[in-house]
Amino acid sequence: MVQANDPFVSFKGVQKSYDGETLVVKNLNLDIASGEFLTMLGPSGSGKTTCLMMLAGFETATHGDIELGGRPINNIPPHKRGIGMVFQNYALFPHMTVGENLAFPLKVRNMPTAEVEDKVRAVLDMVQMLAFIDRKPAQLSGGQQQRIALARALVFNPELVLMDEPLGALDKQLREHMQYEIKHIHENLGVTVVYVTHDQSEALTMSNRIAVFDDGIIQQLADPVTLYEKPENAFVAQFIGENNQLHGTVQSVSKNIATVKLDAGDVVKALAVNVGAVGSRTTLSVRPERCVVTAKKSAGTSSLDARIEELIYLGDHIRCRMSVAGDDQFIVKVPNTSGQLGLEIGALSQIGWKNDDCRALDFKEPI
Amino acid sequence: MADSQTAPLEPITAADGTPLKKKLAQALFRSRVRAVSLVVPLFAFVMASFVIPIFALMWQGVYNDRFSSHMPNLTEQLTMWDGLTEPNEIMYGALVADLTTARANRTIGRVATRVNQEYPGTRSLFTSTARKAKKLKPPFKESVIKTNKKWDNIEVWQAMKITSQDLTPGFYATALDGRYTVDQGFVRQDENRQIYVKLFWRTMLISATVMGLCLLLGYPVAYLLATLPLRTSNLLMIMVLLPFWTSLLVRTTAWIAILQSQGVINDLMVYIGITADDARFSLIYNMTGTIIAMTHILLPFMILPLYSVMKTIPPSYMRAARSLGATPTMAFIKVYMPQTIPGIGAGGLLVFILAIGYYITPALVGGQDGQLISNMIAYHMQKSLNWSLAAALGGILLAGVLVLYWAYDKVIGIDNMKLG
Amino acid sequence: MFNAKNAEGQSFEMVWDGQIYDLDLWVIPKGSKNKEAALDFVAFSTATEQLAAQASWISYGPARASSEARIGTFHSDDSINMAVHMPTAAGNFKNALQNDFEFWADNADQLNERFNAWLSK
Repeated sequence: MVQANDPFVSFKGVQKSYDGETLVVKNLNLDIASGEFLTMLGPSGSGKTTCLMMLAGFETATHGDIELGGRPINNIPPHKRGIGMVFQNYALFPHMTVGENLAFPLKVRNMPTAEVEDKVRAVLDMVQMLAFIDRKPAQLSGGQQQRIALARALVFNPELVLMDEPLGALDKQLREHMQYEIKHIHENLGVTVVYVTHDQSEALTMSNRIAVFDDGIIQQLADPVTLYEKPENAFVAQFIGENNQLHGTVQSVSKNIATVKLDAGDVVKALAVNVGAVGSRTTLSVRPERCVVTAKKSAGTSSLDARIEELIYLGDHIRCRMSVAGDDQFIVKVPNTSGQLGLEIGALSQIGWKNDDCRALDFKEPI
Repeated sequence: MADSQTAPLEPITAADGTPLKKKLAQALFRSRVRAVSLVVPLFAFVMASFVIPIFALMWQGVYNDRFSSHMPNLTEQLTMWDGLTEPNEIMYGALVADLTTARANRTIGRVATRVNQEYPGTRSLFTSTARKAKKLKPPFKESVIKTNKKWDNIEVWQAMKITSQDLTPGFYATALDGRYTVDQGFVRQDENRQIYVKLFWRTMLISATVMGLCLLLGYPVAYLLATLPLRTSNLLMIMVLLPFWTSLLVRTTAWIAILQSQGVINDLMVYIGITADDARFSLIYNMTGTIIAMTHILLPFMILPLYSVMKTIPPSYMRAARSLGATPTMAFIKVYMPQTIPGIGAGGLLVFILAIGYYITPALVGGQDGQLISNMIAYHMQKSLNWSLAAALGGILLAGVLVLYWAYDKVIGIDNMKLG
Repeated sequence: MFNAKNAEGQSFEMVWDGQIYDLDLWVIPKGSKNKEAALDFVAFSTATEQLAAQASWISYGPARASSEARIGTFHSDDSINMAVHMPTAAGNFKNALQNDFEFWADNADQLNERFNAWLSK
């Protein structure tokens, strides 16, 4: 019996190699709870799609176990896993109508015709596509095809639905609209969703939890807020949202606060999250919206000299590119409040931040 | 709304005042001329070397003026004759006059050959009577019949009446194992001379069998080609194309070496003990040999269109089908195969049409029951020199292909065809 | 055939029954310059003596019955009596049929058709 607390999907020490020389997935351990919306996020080649394909059964794990509902599924072929899947190109069968596409998973399960009809209509109604039941996929727009693909993955009531970059081919507006729609369907049906994307805003919008992949390893697994606010390493900090990174050497650490000497010579304080011993190299990471221009020095803050290089007016805020500690790509977002518009290119200023907002992470060579 | 409907429509004009439609037509015309001029050389070549000769030959199938052009007086008399009453003295007179001229012009052989096609056994009747025609004296009916009694036979005259008609359905009738007669219209050919209809059916049967075998053998190969990794599939592709680059004649004779009764396969079977030495299989110089050799030769024409279609089917369709609960077999039949129908149609049509007109292979390995209608056409083109009959046979074959093409278009749709 | 059987010693046997024979001809083109010489040659080459001599080289029958008696032995092998190998030898010629060009000109097409129809049965 699956207990409420037991994970619904579980990767245990999973490794995958295609050529026998390099590992695409290195020792993956991941538990997904029933009803969760988990996103695998990462750049291309990070191993996220391979993980999804192993879960779906189209790739076999080189090592380790994958469990579904407490049962190892390594040796179960894809068609017996009962997992719904939405593909990147939708993979709607071009020779069948929308209705036939949706009926396909039900017919292969030998469901009575009348029941098939009812289910197809119900699920089409859910995605508001009932009027298109007799169309061929080629006669539908990208967004409509997307809905049908989603409906087809849900029509046979799978407990787990996998989505492989399903919104990648849509334009921005439609993509955002579909994000909400998928999120609502997930909330209404309570199915478990494993979603693969390389788009971080998509991941932040939809997920309960996000697993950030890089180099075949989960770099961080956390809910969107934690992931954004408290990245645990330099890759995640860089990949999720915008970030300024400065490099330096740890001089001392006390009470979670590290004193770091930057390569340009300035000394700042930062929250010690992921740093080595005194003398080791570190990457400081601070969000553009957490920096303050013309800051007054006070307890618990750090400040640095800065020169305004470029100003971009974006309405609600001003994007300000500055030279700070030898880095001329330092971005600060200045809120468009009254009295802030005195910024000028070339002006010298001070920028500052709370020590807690600057996270000292593992060292990563600047690209 | 009401205003815009009642107001007269002003034509939209371009910047210089000419109507926009006219301006557009001019611009389009110029680009069209350029496009057409690029095609002109090929078009002229195809017209001169292909289309015109084909139509000229087709025309021969229904039009033959050998008799009327060399026997003008008799043709005039035969046209007036009802074909049933006893030929009269005027007709015999015209016959003698025309035979005399034809003999002097040395065209009597052509006339004799033409009538002989219609009524076998009369060639020498014409040539020998023509030799004596100059000396014949009236009354001609009597003197002509005196040279040869056959001139008294009304069937000879009826045959001449048929051949004197330039525009004749006679060759098509012959090509369908029939005969066109003066008194009864179309009748069936004598049973011991009926051959063409049977050959047409056999041609269809063999072509269909070859097409089926090509599909059966080619489908898995095309599937492998489309799904294997690039390096392996390239090697396989070369193996598919290698026979394609070898001469047709070489491949066909290779089959002779393999299939003949003292050939590789029979030796092997005798060696293994499948068959006794004195009971070797006859695999060649019959229908079996024709089918085997033609299947091998036409296989690439099936594989290539199939491959080009399969190449465009992403693997995600099969994956989707399996994730939806279909077994691999069911996914293949329900999802993959229907998407390859354009390739099956194109390959099938290509192989069938090529097979229908196949000539060299059946001629070499066909023996007696592996001959196709094309071999008969070649016979009439090269040996019997009855080009009109060859044209009629070819015309029927062409019509058959067009009917098939039409049927294909109705059933599958020609737009769905994909050749590569 | 004759050569294969007698000179090379292959095991063939001639069946003369129902043989079909052709006649060879000499033709002098109309208006020939050397008509007299040509006529002389024809007279010479079709004389009894010459036709009989021809038979010692090849098993072609002489066109003159008078030659028959004078046929000798094979030119390279005296043991072979050529007379019995002639198509025209009395025993061989009993059931012979002359090839009729006129018949074939009249009936070739029709007979070919019938032959093909018979083949494809």
